[in-house]
Formats: sequence, C-alpha cells, structure tokens
Amino acid sequence: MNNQKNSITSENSLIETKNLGKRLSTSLNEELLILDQINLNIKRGESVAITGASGSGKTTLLGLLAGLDIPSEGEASLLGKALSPLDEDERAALRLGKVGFVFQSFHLMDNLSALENVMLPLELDSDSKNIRTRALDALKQVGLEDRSTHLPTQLSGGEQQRVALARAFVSKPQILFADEPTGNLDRNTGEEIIALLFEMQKQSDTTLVMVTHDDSLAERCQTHYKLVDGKIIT
Amino acid sequence: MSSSVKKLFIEWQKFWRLAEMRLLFLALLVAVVAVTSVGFFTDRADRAMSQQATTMLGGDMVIISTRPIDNAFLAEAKKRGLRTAETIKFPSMVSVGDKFQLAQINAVSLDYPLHGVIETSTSASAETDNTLVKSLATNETLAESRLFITLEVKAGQEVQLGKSKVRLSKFIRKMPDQSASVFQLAPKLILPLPQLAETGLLTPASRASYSQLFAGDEKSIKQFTAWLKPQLKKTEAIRTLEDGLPSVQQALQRGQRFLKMASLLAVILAGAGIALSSYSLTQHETPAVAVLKTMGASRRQILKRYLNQLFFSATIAAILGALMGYFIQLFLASYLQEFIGQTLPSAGWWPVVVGVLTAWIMVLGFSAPHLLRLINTSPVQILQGQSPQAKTSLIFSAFALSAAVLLLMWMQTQDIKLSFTLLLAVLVGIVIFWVIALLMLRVVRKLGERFRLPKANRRMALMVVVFGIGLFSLLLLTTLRGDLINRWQASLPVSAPNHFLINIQPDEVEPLQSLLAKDDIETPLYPMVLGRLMKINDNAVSEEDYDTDRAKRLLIREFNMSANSIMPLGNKIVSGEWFAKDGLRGLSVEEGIAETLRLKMGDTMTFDIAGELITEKIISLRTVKWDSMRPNFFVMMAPKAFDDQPKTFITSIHLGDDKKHVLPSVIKQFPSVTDIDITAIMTQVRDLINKAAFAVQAIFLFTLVAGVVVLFAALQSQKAMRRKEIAILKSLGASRAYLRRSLILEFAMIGGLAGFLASVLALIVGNIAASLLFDLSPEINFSLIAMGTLLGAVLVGLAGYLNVRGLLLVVPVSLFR
Repeated sequence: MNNQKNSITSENSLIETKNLGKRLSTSLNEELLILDQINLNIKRGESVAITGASGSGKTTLLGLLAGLDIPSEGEASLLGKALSPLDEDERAALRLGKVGFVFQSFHLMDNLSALENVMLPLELDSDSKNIRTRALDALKQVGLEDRSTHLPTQLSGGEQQRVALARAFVSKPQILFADEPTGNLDRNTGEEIIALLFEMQKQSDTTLVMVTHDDSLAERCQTHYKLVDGKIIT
Repeated sequence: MSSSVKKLFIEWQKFWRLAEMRLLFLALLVAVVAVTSVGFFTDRADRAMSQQATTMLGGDMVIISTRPIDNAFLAEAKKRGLRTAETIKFPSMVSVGDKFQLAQINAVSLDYPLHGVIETSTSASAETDNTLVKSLATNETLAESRLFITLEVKAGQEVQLGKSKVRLSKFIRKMPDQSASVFQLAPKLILPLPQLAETGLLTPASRASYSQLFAGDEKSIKQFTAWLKPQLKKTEAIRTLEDGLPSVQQALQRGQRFLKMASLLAVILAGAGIALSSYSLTQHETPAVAVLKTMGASRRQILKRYLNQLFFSATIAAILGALMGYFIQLFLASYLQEFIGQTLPSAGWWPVVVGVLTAWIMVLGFSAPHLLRLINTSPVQILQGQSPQAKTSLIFSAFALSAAVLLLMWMQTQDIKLSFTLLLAVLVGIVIFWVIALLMLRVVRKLGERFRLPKANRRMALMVVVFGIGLFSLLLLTTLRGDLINRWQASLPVSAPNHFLINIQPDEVEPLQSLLAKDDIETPLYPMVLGRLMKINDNAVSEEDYDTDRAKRLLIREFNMSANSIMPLGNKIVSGEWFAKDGLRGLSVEEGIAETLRLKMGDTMTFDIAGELITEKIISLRTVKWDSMRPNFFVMMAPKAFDDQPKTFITSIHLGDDKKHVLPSVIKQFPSVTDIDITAIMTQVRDLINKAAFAVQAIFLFTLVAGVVVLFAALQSQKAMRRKEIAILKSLGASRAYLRRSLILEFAMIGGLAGFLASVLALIVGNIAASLLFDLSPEINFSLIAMGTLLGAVLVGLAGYLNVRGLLLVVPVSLFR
C-alpha cells in the first residue's frame, strides 16, 4: 500500500492522510466508494505522481489533498493543519499564497490578459507587494514576456499552459497541484511544459503533487502512487 | 481619482471585456436613461401642468365666500410675502337701448389674475389680433362675445351697467377660472374693481360670490393655508389645485398614468435584460470562481470582487444614464414647449437620485441571487472536468426579483395599486408562459425530432418565457400607446360638445329641438332643478359631520339634479339598476359623491326642492365621465319625478365651424336661453392629452431599446452551450445548410410561440388596465395577435440566427478547444 517513502516524519510532511476515504451518493440513493483507506505522507520539496485508470479516484484524491473537498472518513492535513475541522473559507485561507494549481484545461480567465492572469493570485493576498513586477518576472520565466498583453484566446494551447504555470508559481507556493497538465496538449508541447514544470519546481523547492495517466511522466517524479478502485496499490 | 476608485476602474476595464458585462451595463444604462429622462420630464411637465391648472384657478389658492371676506386675510398674506388679488362675481343685467342681457359680472382687482393671462381680441372672430392682458387698466372693461352678439354692439361701444356706463373695450377669448360653475354662467363681463362702486350694483343684500386669490411659493402657500383654515367662517371655503376642476384633473391623471406605465415597462424589460446577463455572467464566471477558490480566495473576497464590479458598473451607468436622461429630456421639453407656449420650469435633482437608486436596486435584485450562486461554486468541480454549476434557490431568486420589481415600480409610480397590478401581471405571465411553453414543446417533440437540436426542449421553454415576456412588454406598450391613446382621444373627440345651452324653459324644448334638427343637431335635453340636501336617512345633515372640504362644500351648495329615462352618455351603473322608463321613485347617485358623503345603496336622501321636501331612496350608483363635456349630474331622479316641478332644461351641442351660424339664431329665437362656449377649456384638455401622448411615444423608444437588449442578453446566455452543440453536430457530419435551417427554424418557432403568447396576454392585460386604470371599455384586437406572432417569429428568428451565425463558420476542432 505505502511505498518506500512512508518513513517520512510528520514534522517534515506538508501533506498527510490517515485512512482517508470518500463516498458519494448516486442518484439511485446508493453509496459509491470512491476512495478507501488512503494513507499518504508527502514531504517538502518532494515530487509525487498519482496515476490510475479513469474513474480510479485520482482527481478526487487531489481535491481532498488540496482541501477543495472534505473526506467522508479519515483525516487529511495540509501544511500541518487538519482539514476536516475547517470550513471552506478557512481551507481557502490555508491555500492562499502557499498552494498553486495547474489544470488540464488551463482555466485562464478569458477576459484577462496573460499578465493579468498571472497577477491574480498575488492580488488575492492583501500583503503582496510589487505585484506587476513579480508577475512579469514569472512570465519571463516561462518565456512569454512579450505576450503579456495577449488575451488567452490569442494564445496557443501550449502558451496558455505556460501562462498557467507562471500563475501557479508566481506566489512561490510550497505545494503545486497539477491535474493532467499535458492532457490537452500534443506530445511535443506536453514535453516542453513538463520540462518547464520540473525546472520551476526544482528552482522554487516546491512540493509537486501531479495527477496523470501517463506512466512515463509519473516515473519522472520521486514518488509514484497508483490508484486502483479507490485504493493505493503501489 | 482616489486609489480605490482607480483600482475599481482598472478592474472594471477587465470585466468590460466580457460581452455579458457589457450587456448588463447596457441594460442598466437603458433603465437609468428611461427612469431619469421620464423623471426629469414628468417633473417638469408636472410643474407645467400644475402651473397651467393654477392658471385656470387664477392663483395657487383661492378663498371663496358668499359674504365679503375679512381683509385681515389679505393683510396677513401680504405680510407673508404672498401676492394677492380679489374678485367679486354677481349676475346683473347689461343693456344698450332696449336690449337687455343677463351677464356674469366679474369685478376684479387690478392685479388679477395672479397666474395666467386674460386673452382678448378686438372682434368676435379675430384670431390674429389676440392680446394678452396680465392686468386690467382702470378704465378697461372686457366681455365675452355672447354679450356683444346679444346686445348687438361692437368693441369700443358703451353699455349701461347699473348706474354707470362702461365701454366694452375688448372681447374675452380665454380667461382663468374658465370652467368654474359652468352651469350658472351668463356671458362674462370683466370690470376693474375700482369701478364697481360707481355702478351701485353691489349692496350688502346682493347675491355675490367673493374670492380672494393668493399666489406664492409652495411652502408659503401651505403655511398660509394652514394658518387660514381654522379661521374660516362657514360661508368660506378654500379652493386649491387639488380640488380644482374635475375635467382637467382627470385628463391630468390619465396622462401621468400613461407616462408611469410606459417608463415602468422600460424598467421591467431592462430588469429582464439585467437578470439574463447576470445569469450569463454567472455561467461564464463559475469556472473562474472555482479557480480563484483553488488559489485560496475566500467567499467574502469573491463576493466583494463581483459586488464591487456590479455596483461600480451600476454607478457609472447611473451617472452616464442620468446625463443622457437629462439631455433627452431637454430635447423632449423643447419640443413640448411648442405645445404649451410657456417656459417649462427647470427640473429638480430628485430624478438623479431615483436613477442611481434604480441602478443599485436592479443590480441587487436582479444580480444578487446569481452572485450568491456564484460564491457557492464548489472548487472541486473544476478538477473533475465539469463545468461547475451551483444551484440557486428558486424561491429566493423569485423573492429578490419580485421585491426589486415592486420597489422599482413603487419608486417610479408612488402608486402601490398600479405597482401590484403590474407585478401580478408579470408573475402570472411567467407562470402562464412557462406552463404553455412546456406543453407546446412537448407536442413539438412528439411531432418528430428531426427538426430539433439535442437537449433543446427545456432551453426552448426558457427562451419562450424570456422572449415572451420581452415581447409582452413591447406589445402591451404598443397596445397602450396606439390603441389606448386613440381610444382615450376618442373619448374626447373633436366632435365632442363644445357648447352648453342652459335655462331652456319647458315650452322651449320642442321648438329648440326642431331648430337644431334643421342643422342635423340631435341632442337629449335634461330637465334640471336645484335642490339642497337636507337629510340622509332621516338625520339632518350638517357640515360638521364631515371632515373633507369637498363634503362640506357639497352641503353648502345646491345640487343640480336631473331626471331622464335614458342614462347620460358615458355614465355606467356600478351598483343597482337604472330607472324604469316611467319610473317615479328612486335616486341614482354618482359613486364618488356617494363615497364623500358616506352614502350606500338603500339610503334615503331628502332634498329641499323649491321649498318642498322630497325624500327618495338610492337605487343605483353610477360612475360619470366628467371629461365627456356633456351634462353630468351627481344626483339623478326617476324619469317622471320632475313632471310637476318647475324646471329648466340643459343640453350640450357640438358646433363646428360650419355650424357656427346656428348660435345667433338660437340666441335670437330663445332670448332666455344662455349659451356657454367651452371651446377654450376643451382646447386646454385636448392639449394635455396630446402632450401626454407625445411623452408616452418618446418613452416607448426606451422600451424598444430595452427589448433589444433583452433579446441579445438571452441569446448571449446560450451561446456557449450552442457552440458546443454545433461542434458536436458538425463533427457528426451535419452540413452548414442543415444547421442554418435548424437554427432559423428553432429561433423562429421560439419567437412565434413567444409572440403568440405575448400578444394574447398583452391583449388581456391591456384591456384590464384600460378598464381598471383608465376607465375605458375593453376591445379585442385580433390583428395584434397575428402581428405579435409574426413579429416574434421574424425578430427572434433573425436576431437569433445573426447571433449564432458566426458559430457555423468555425471548424469543429477549434470549437472543442
């Protein structure tokens, strides 16, 4: 069930789960077990891949780890804080400035320019300073400083995902959650994005939790969890 | 610009890139422009109309009395800075040689009138040499043309008035107080008050009506009236604008109701536009909110982000809208000025406040339910590849919407009855539209799926409801604008009577009728007797029993009563039944006066008629169209009740230019008959109607713009979904021609269905409004239904197709991206 990394001490871990489970009610009033008895321990700077077939529960697990959803049973903690006692806003506050996301469908705001999209996470934090400069720096890092005024519709898929990477890293998060980051890209572009992702992760010493169905991509992570029918089997 | 406003402005620019936000802003702008321009305009028109009405009164407030009025009132008014004038009216014979004519002498102080002017001319027919007299010269005497005709004198000739000879210098064409006590008027003669003593006509025993007129600013008049009231004697009564002239007042009220109704519909339509674009905005922003939540944004932050933007938009729309409203109103007013020939009073600031409040209420009521839905978006859905959807409570939305609509309606009309009627109409409309739309679409689905795009049914029902309500508002206003205004104007047609003939003796009835018949003038004659109300249900009546001035006045005065087997034109029985043909007993009482005097069916009233007490039971209550320009009576008796009473007859006739010659022969053949020319007051009333009609038409334009906004907001709200569907159908091999045909057919069907339902409902509501609010009889207009259906099909078909046309050109793969 647990892999070789389960000896990590709790003090160093950013994400920890104990007997985590998730059930959903179907429209027929039946209970469906999505995740069962998940025990994870992810330490600072680590890169983790979660793989599994469609419907294996990997995206649900990502949501639980990031505090986007609450478990039906067991416990998850993020950045040293148990998530279950927190309400939605408290969980959001925990993520603010410390957690970044990259999505399969990029999810850039189409009314904002590339630069404005990158500025967004910094604007949410009232303590942020030099927002514009930092966002421009992040764009520069992904090689898009000359496209800063372009709207997402004026960018290619690869470029949009680069902007999404800049947006995810701009606040120097402790953890980055990536959900199938190459799922909507062709192979070459996907490769470029992944290379950039790992480079940025290393540079900023960010913990990476990535959901993917691509085993070769998973192999590039330090840790690889495989989900089958809601359980971790590797 | 302060930094927070600057920040808001920068954020607003970002939101401005969204089509949904631009539509929302446009809808807000239309609403504010409609509200403020109507506000500014009615504000000014109201004041102008009030001014015109005070012109008719001759001042802002008048004390009338049958005895000379205490001069202390005049002194007090002067002390308070009010302008004052006096008039004394009494009947007297005027003669030249052997010709005599009873005239109504108006002795007026030299500062009369306080408002308005006396229009004069130097000959009876002259239209060109009109002069306006603001105050009389001490030696100037004016008279109405009837006096000149009967005495056969010309301007400048002298006539005998009491002990003195006066020179009739000019003809009176129009003067303030034109319609007062219309039935008791002989031709008027205006005499400067300083000359009155010389005539020796006024003695302490004379039956005269004394008036003191006051003019000043509203506040001073109110304060003075409050000071005055406790000091008035029984014989003295106050007349103000509010209890002014029934005919003008009714016309005025109708005009304002039209205006209010029209602007309200524009606001409701704009509201629908706002609700729709908010809905689209919410749909569009839901993934963004989910992403913001993953980044750590709290619900409070998200709410603030959107609320700030909505209120900022509303405020900008309000400022811009108020400015535009002000300029549009300037244009309207300059056009209107031609009608009234006087400078309009300037507009107040209140409409701006109403404009800003309107924008805020609309944002709060029409957008807030969507916003609450937005902030409750679950962030986890964004990971699951779903388009996040949060549910709104239907009851909460309906409540917020209704509350906002009601508040807006009330703010606009300050008429809770009208507001509720409209709100109810809208709510009932939504339910009816929804049910019928679902039923009809079920039939369509059964007819075959080959014309339908997938999952079209519920969406189509929604579209039918949305377009239906938009079209309903437009059609209702069209009905109101065209049909109602026409009918309303028809209620006072050009052929409406413009002359009253009174003092017709019983033996003159037949010869007069045959004289008039020669010129094809046929008219009923009504017997008239004067009666003083003595008792109600065996209890002696006294002014002290009533609080209202109107009731008190009614008890001082004698009633003009009539009897006839046929109910006067324009009267309507609301309770009980009209008299039998040969009826002897019973009373029919006008509804309003029954309310004022607290009378109900079955009550008895005792009148003193020529010294004889007559007691009768109320067997019917009537409504009366006071602005019909026909003889109308508060109290009517059974057809045979007056058979043995001394009485005179009254009638009203229309004399067009081609029949003006009738009048001299009537006056010559029946010297005791008095003719009252009401052309002037009719012109005034018709003027008011025309002004109101014009204003309604102008406001109709806003409603039209609001309707277009709604149409586009509705189309925009479904564009994303349609984009996806077209992509799927194209990838499955659907040709562009097929898609084009399907889309046009779908939109035309939605539009036709919506138009059909809208026109049926508009017809029903329009007729209900016509009879309830405007007192007009219902009328069924089938062409409206045909027009509505066609209009809906063409308009929605075309606009819908144009809106999504661009999607047909895009290749499926890029649609998926």
